[in-house]
Amino acid sequence: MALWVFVVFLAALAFAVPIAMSMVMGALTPLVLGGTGSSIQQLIANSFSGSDTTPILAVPLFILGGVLMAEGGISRRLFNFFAYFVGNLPGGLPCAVILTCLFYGAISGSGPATTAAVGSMTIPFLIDMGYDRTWSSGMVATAGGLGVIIPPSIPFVLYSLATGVSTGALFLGGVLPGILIGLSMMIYAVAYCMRKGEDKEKIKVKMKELRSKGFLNLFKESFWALLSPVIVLGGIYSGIVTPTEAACISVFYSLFVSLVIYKSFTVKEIIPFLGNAVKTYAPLCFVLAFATAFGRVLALAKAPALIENFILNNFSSSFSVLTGIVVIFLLLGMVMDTGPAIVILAPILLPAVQSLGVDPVHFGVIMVCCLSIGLATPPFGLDLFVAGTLSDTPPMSVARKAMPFIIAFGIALFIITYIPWFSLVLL
Amino acid sequence: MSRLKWLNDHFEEAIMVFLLATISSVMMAQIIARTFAVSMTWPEEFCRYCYIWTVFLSLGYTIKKGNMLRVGILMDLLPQKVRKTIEIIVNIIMLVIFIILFRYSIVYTGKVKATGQFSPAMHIPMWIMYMSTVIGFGLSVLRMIQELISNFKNFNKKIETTLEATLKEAKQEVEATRIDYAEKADLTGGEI
Repeated sequence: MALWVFVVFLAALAFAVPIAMSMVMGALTPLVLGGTGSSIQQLIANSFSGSDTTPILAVPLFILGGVLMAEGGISRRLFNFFAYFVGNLPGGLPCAVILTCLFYGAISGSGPATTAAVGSMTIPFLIDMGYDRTWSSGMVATAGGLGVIIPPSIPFVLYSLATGVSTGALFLGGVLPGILIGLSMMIYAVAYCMRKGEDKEKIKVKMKELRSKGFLNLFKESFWALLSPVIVLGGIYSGIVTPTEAACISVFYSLFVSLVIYKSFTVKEIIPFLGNAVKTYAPLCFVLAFATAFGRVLALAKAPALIENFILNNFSSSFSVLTGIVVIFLLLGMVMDTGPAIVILAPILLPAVQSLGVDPVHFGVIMVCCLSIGLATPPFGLDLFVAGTLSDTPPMSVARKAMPFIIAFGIALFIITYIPWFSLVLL
Repeated sequence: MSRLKWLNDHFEEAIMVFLLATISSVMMAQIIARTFAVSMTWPEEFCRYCYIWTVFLSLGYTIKKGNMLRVGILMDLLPQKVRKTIEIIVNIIMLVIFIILFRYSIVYTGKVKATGQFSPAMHIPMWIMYMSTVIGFGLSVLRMIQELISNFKNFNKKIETTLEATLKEAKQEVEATRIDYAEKADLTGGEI
């Protein structure tokens, strides 16, 4: 029966049926075939109760907080702050861009939004400074997608919803892997700049201009943006607020910073931002609701147990299983959105890898890392298209220049997958 | 007529925006109240119920906007006419499913009403909450019919591939970040 549920579900996906409806079709399969499954009324009740939890509220709230913060024009402030420190080093400016992307992604929680906000400012700047147009776009496209690994991160909230693993633990688990991926991309960027050479004169002039503003001024400008993740994470780990409440605080913090400090928009302009946030999370709402209902049908059909047996019988080590899973996730990330992939697959696969001794937090980190790189890989990586649109270059040539960055990411991913220490040491 | 058109375009969206603003404000008020005075149980329940209404309204909204998440690449490989036909068949199947869900959501809400259940914190009759399923699936039936009508009307028009849709989305994303060129040029400037 479990097999039929999967067959119907996958066939529906292939015919471009929306993911939420594919799950409904899969869930109704046992009923149609006369096996044991949920009745239609149970399906409705499950999709209702699946939405009736407080942790799920963190998703719309974090998205709203990100939308509001992104309007605050903080990408420039962050970039100036990082450029102050590393701008004069070889490959310094590209590294400052990568740092900005990772940090901005943590605040905004959306890969394409990060690429657009950071790229629209830094790509013309890098081109001005004599860096290759396509290369700069490829770099921003790749780095933009990876910001979601550094907390607060919506994919981690979704993984936590799907598996019951603590959101706070996942956020902590994502910190070092995020830094590691950033480092490995920066190493490539520096190597590239040393080999190709840079326009030192131009950079010196710009850097002098930047330094003349003084560290204190730059710090004051970027302080409020830098503080945002600190407030969210600090609130969660000190036990003052739950992750959901932290998301709510991030909304009002962003509002406060944008309205009072940066004055980047007025009260009247808030409603369109709410509309933007709704537009971003509405497609996720139903996937989440039906994923619960679909998960129960799969559990009734004993699918997780079947998959666990299959994996345990065919693979003996967590090493080979993880390799297989990483490859599947990387391929899946290219065609499917991160959110649905997490809520559908995490509950099915987690029991199996757990019985091989893989930590649930570590597995979550691997999953989120793999799926988020999908935004920068052809054929449909949205980040490539955003960066391409920004720099007037065809997305596929951006993809070619992004390849070395993706390989740098792959090396970091290899380390993260096989050395659980990086994901678990902070817990 | 123009008012009707506005309702058609924005009905679910307007309610969802309102609900999001409500959820944020009530939850923030609850955090403040808890920190300085008393902790209450009703705000959390209230927020959850607001979200449930959002969930069931999101169906009609995403059908209308055409932004339901899907995996479109296999269909891109097929010729236009075949794709259109499959799309219509898929939409008809979805319409049937929505009609079934609509019907059973009425049955289920009736059952909940018969039990006379109340919500634990706010003591609202539970069937009022389950009305969100009835209204949500009802609206999706309507939106699906609208979608099918436009499918038949535009049968000969070219439909966009996943690639084109992605490109369009990318353009919107870029336009949404309102950084004008002046600001781009003045990188090191900027006011505090």
